[in-house]
Amino acid sequence: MIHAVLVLNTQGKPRLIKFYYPVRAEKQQDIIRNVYKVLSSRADHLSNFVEAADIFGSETKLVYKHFATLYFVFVIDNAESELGILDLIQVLVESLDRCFKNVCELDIVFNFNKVHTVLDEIIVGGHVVETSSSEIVKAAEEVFKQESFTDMIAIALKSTGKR
Amino acid sequence: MGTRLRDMIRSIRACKTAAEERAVVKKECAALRTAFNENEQGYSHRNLAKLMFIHMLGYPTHFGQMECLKLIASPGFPEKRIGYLGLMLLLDERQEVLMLVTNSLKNDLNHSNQFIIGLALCALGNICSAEMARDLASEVEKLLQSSNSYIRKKAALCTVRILRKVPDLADNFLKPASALLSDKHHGALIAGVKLCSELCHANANALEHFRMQTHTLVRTLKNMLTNGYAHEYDISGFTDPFLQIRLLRLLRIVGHNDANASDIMSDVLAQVATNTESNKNAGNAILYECVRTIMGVEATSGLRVLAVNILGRFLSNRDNNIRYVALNMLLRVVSIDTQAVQRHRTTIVECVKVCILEYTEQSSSGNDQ
Repeated sequence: MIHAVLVLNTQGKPRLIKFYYPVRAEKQQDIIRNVYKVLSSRADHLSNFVEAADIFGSETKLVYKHFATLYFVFVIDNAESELGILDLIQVLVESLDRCFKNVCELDIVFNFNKVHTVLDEIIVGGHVVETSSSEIVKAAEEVFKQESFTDMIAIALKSTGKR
Repeated sequence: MGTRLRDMIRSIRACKTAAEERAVVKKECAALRTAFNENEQGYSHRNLAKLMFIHMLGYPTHFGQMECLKLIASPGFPEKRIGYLGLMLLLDERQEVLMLVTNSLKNDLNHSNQFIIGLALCALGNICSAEMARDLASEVEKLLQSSNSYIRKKAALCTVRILRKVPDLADNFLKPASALLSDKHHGALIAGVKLCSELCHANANALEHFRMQTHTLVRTLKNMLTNGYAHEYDISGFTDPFLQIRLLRLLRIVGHNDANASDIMSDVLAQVATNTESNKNAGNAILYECVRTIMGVEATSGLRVLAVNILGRFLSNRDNNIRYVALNMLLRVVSIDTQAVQRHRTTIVECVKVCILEYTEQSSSGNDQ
C-alpha cells in the first residue's frame, strides 16, 4: 500500500501532503521535517529508496525522485514494488506537466487543490487506480471544466439578478 | 468577503520571517471563522480551499471540519469537489463527524453525474470507517457493475478499503470482482486485480475461488505479452508494466503453497522471465516482480535458477536502484535456495565492496565540511 505522497521543495517546505491513513496535523509536520532531513543529506549517486522504519514504522520505505526544486516522495510498504513506484512518480509528473503545460513549483503552490484532483485520479485509498497519463489528464480536465461551467452559470445568474 | 485564494497564498509567500507568516495566517483564520459562522453564500468553497492551504503549512484547522460537511451536502459541483477534498485532508480520526457524512455519500453514490460519483467513491476509499462500510457496501457493490469504466475502477478500490474495515463482507463482492478480471478497460482491470488480491487475503473461500481462475489470469498476462499493445498504457516501450506487476502479484498469492496453480502458471512465468528486456526501469520492474513470484510459488528448480540468474544480472547493473532490489531479494532467497545464491557470491561481494567504498567516501566528505 502507498501510505503517503509528499511533495517538498529543496528547502523543506511542503507543497503537497497526502496521507492515506489518519495522521494528526502536528504529527504531519514532524514527518515532513524528518523526511526532509533524510533526503537533503542523501548523496545523489545513491539509490532512490530509503528505509523509513523510524518515521513510518517497520517495513516502510521512501521512494523518491528529485526534479528541479522539488522532491516527489512516495511512502510505501512491502506490498508495493519499489521499481514500479519509480515509474508511477513519472506518471504523476507527466500528468501534472500536461495539465499545467511545463509544470513548475509555482504551479503546484497556486493550484495545490487541482494537484490533489490529479493525484486522486491516480491513487484511491493508497492503491493505484490509473496509470495512463492521457486518461488521468482527460478525467482531471473534465472535472475542472465542470467546475468553471458551474461558476459561469453562477456569474450569469448574478448578472441577470442585478438587472 | 475576504481575499481571493491566490492573494492569500501570495501574501503568505511574501512573509520574510516565521512570525510574520504566523500573523498573516492568524488574520486569515479569524476572517475564515467569521465567514463560516455567518454562512456566507457563494464563497464557502473558496474559503475552505484557503483553509486547506493553511493546513498544509501546519496550522490548526479543526474549526473547518463542519464546513466540509456543509459543502458536500450542497448541490453545486465546485462546492462538492472542495468539500470532499477537505474531508480527506482536514479530518482526523474523529469518527463522529464522519457519521454525519454517510447520508450525503449515499446520495452522491446514486448521482447521475459520473464525476460526482467519482468524488464520493474516492473519498469513501480514503476515509471509510467500519460503520460506513456496512452502510454503503450495497451501493458500492452496484457501482462495481456499472457500465462506466471510470466508475468501475474507483468502485473496485473503494471496495478494497471496505474489506479492510469489514472483512466479513467479502462474500458479497466475490462475483462482481471476478467479473472485473475479464474487463476490457485497463484501469478497471488494474483495480480489479488488486481487489481480487485483497479478497484472497480476506478469506479462504475467495482464495480457493481465485485458484480455480488461475487459467484466466495466465491468459490475460499471455495476451498482454503477445498482442496486448495499448499505446496509452505504454511506459518506455513496455505494455502496461503496472498491470503486469499486479497480475504477477496475484499469481503469487494463488500459487503460494499450491502445486497445481503453480504448475499452470510456470509457462507464462518463464515467458516473462526470458522475454522481458532489461534495459529500462519498467522492464526491470516487471522482471523483479516475476522473480518475486517465482520464489513465492511452488516453482520448478529450473525456473528458480532462471530467477536467481536474473538477480545476478541485476547485481552487475550500473543503476543502484536495480542493485538495491536485487540484494534485497537475494536476502530473502538465501533461506530457500542457498546454493543458487552461492553461485553469485563474487558479484555480491563486489557490490558490498563498492557500497562500503561509496559510504566511506560520503562520510569522509561529510567530515570535511
